[in-house]
Amino acid sequence: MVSNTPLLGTGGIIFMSLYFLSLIVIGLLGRAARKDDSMSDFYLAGRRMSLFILFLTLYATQYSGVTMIGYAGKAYRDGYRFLVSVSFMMAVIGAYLLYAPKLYRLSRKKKFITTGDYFTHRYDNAPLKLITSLIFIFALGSYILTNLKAVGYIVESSTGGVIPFSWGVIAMSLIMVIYETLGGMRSVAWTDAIQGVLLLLGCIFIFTVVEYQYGGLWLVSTKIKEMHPEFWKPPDLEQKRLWLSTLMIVFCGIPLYPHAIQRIYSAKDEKTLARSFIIMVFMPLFTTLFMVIIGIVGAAQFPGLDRGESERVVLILLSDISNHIAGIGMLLVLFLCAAVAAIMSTVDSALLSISSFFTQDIYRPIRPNSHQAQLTRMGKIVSWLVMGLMTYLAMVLPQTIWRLVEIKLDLLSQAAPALFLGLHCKKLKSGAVLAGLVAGICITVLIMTAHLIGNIFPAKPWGFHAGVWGLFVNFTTIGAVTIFQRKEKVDTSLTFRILL
Amino acid sequence: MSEQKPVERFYTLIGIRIIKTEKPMNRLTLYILSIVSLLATVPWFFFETTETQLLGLPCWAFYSICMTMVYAMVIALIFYRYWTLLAGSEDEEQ
Repeated sequence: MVSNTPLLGTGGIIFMSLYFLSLIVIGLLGRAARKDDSMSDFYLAGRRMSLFILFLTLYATQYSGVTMIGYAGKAYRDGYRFLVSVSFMMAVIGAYLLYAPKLYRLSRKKKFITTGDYFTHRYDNAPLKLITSLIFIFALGSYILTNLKAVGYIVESSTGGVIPFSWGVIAMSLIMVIYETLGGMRSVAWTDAIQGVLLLLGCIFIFTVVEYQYGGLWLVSTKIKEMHPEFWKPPDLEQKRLWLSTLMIVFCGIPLYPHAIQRIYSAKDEKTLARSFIIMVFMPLFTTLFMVIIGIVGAAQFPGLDRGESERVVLILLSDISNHIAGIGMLLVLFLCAAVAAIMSTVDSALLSISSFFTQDIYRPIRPNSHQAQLTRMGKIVSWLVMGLMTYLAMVLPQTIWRLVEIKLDLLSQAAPALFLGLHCKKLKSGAVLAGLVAGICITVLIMTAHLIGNIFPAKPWGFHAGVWGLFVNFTTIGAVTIFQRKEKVDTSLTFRILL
Repeated sequence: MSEQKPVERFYTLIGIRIIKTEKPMNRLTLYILSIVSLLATVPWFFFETTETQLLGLPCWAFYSICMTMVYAMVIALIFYRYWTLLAGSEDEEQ
């Protein structure tokens, strides 16, 4: 239930409206800057993204609304144990190390537009491509849904309910789809640049003010030791396993998001991409770590908040600070803008990616003689249709269905062996990868369903996520089928020799 | 003194000297190095609660943050020095 007291005053609402208007203007500028009507220009900004834009778009896309709102709340509840989030955000960049350099070169040579293009080039296996595409679309769709829901609540809270949740979702969706279809990746990346700057400034300023007002971790630690002695305890063996499992699932899941892969394709050159990753790997220290510390400071200052209230811990801290320091109310505007920016940058990228998937991987094979301009136009239509559907679902989907959305990372990570091993093992056959993928998905879904239906299984057996068990089975199956295939080949050749 | 690149300047600033060796690095070694440094961010060797605090953090949390920074530096260094090696050669792609 949203409080009727608006979080933003008139000035704040005007500032936010100007920010939204500027996004549309950037969309128009992106359209004006287009070189041609090709898919490569629309979906990959002509493969000419510079260091500044590439870094900011990678940054804004990787950090969603969850970073700004959810992480502080989670740190409030879990304490220092949630430092795992700093490691896992870095692990995402560490995972790029396994595939980005090779994939980038390949994408230049073969003119890839989508992740599906890589799978077609490497495996040429229709069922494998279909399953991976479905996983990607499910992951992107659920990503859009959760973020749309979050932005709806922010708009409702900011205006004290004057703009209701559903209207907030509709308005934000409209703004995003307009600038996205105007200039494609170019508009999305340029708006991401603004959103990335807002996100970074928001984290740094809020962290500085919170540290200044409450005396930092030095002073807070004494309170924490008294009020939350469990925070001070090192994680036990099961919690360490869970820590490891979280690292594994994020390492194999998040770097596979198709919009992240499309940013790799968009880089101007290898040097630009490498430099972006070098800067990106340090960003969790200025974003995730700051939000975790803010959450822990919140736990010391305002103990006893329940789960729902703890999600608002940053807002509670900022409201408290504004009572002590005059003129700090602007920080609240900055925080809300940063949160909305983080959400929008994630949704627009995911939307563009879904649109490219439908156009390049589904529509183009059906109509192979279509011109580039026709394909681009189809992509824009798909963007509007998908956004319409997502907006509707965000408003009507019952809460029970949302549980399924939570397993998106577990499912997405099942495509990791196909990408990682496909790039490094030349002799790997598509049949083995397909068998591994199907086995991995089945195990993941089985564990999740068994837990949801009747608690037959714990959600994380032995402290590991369902997706990690799926990955284990996935890799094992690939290994077993590959050995079997080789053995069969040797046996066949032996039979031939005997016969001859 | 030869002119240093930004990444080299950063590492020199924090007291790390990048030594350019003649011996070529193996791609698998780099992957293992990156994964081992990621695994090292988990506070595996802390079991007992201690009163000691470092920069306002419990020892195990301080250790985890330090190892996370080490991990970031390892990854940045690998991207900086070994991108070409990671990307592989043209022949390999054939």
